[in-house]
Amino acid sequence: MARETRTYRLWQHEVKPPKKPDRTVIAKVSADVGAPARTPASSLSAGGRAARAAGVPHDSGLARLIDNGHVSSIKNVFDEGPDETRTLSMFAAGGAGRGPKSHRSPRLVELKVSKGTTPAQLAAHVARMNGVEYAFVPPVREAFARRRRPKAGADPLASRQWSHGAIRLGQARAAAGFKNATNITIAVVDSGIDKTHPDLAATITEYKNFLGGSDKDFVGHGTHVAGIIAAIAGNDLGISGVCGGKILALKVLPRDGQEFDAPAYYRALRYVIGRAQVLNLSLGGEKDPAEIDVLDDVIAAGVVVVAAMGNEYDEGNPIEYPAAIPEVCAVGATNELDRRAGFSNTGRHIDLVAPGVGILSTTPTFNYDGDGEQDFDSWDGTSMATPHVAGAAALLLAKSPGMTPAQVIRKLTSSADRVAGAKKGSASYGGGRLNCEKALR
Amino acid sequence: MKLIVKVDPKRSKDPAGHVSKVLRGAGKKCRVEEVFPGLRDGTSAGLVSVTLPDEPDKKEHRAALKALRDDAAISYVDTPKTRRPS
Repeated sequence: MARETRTYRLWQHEVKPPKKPDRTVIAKVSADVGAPARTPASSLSAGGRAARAAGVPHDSGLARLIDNGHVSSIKNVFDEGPDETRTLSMFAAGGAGRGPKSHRSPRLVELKVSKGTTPAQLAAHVARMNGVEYAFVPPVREAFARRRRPKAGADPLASRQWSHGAIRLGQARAAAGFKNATNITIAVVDSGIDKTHPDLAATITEYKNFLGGSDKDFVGHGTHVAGIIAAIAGNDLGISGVCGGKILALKVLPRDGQEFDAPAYYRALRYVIGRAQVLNLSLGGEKDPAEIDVLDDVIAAGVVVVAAMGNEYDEGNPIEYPAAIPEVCAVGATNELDRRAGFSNTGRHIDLVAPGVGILSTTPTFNYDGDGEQDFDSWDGTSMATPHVAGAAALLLAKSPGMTPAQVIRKLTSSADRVAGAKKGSASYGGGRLNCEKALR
Repeated sequence: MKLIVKVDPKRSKDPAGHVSKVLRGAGKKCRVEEVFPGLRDGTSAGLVSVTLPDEPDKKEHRAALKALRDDAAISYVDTPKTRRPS
């Protein structure tokens, strides 16, 4: 699995009161109004001084509005320096030369309306004054983008789960007869799961640690995989899983640098029999005859086994097991463009593909070995594609409990969408990209 | 050195005991453990985990491996494979 540095945090929508419009009137002074007269400032009224500072005559109607208390201040809308103000006045007075058009600002002045005066009435009054072209109360301008406010009970990060759109999960859920996999258990044989994660805790029916020592998921991998399958939907928190099923958490993958315990792994695989209907194996490696023997029993017991194709396409594209076992559903990864992810292994044993790039899911709530973020994070890998298919298998079994593992895999592959112009059965895409809507029809 | 050995359950009722006997014949002391103790049905039955003591002499290990592979009741002898997150 490869990690991205993208991070998502829970957020709450802030409800802000609507902003009150400013008590302001904008007026455009006619170009033929003369420049302010050179009367000594000491002899001017407050309104006259303010009007002159704004570049309009001190004896104009606008100045009288300040003196009468209807307006508290008057200033140029365009905050031009002394030179520009003088130029503006010269233009207004029809004085020397006309500068380049782009240099001429409209003679707009902003009037701050005093309490007791209505901006709309003042604007109407100013608009009728001599030397004023127009006046108006400036309308409020709002950005047309709004932060989406999640509905009550919705998962605030669900909109960032692009993969659910790609596998047409929403359409599947909206279809008549859709049934969540609440009565289906999916075993996750992995690095453990953060049992305390608030978006996962209630889905874990049993947790068994085959390694001894701490139950904590120090890798984060199992927690991420489990979230893709079954993160709790509609709890005002984080994301939603594909199927709403229950999780049987079996810890067998050690933290980095520690030895893998093969017998413990075999025991975990066999432990699934009679306890889960789907087994997610987001892991792989060399061919192992004992693993083949154990999974033969698991599949014979009616468990749908789903495994990752592997991420070593650029390292020789090896055939990875258990994905290469014929009765196991082998899953490759696609990206948001519906193309094979560059790292995703190929081979004739591939059954189908599912989203595996930038997949947002749960990560441990404590500091774990990876450099990922706590609570939620986006990861890449066929490990992330596999639980999408495992979740879809659980949905199929919820709808049709009598299906055999072979029938489930056949249904998932036959209903998958052809992508990237690849023929069904290609070594890159297998049956195509998972389509939950068609699979559940 | 660790090994995974599969004993045909039809040929031996005690897979761990059978492997111990074969290794004793090759002069080896080792730890032998059934992966699924008591399981006699299904393809998982007869799996045995073997831990040979670390020895500098590889010949000793080769002799033990040969003894296991030559035994008619043993279906395969393999080194455990690592599984990593993908």
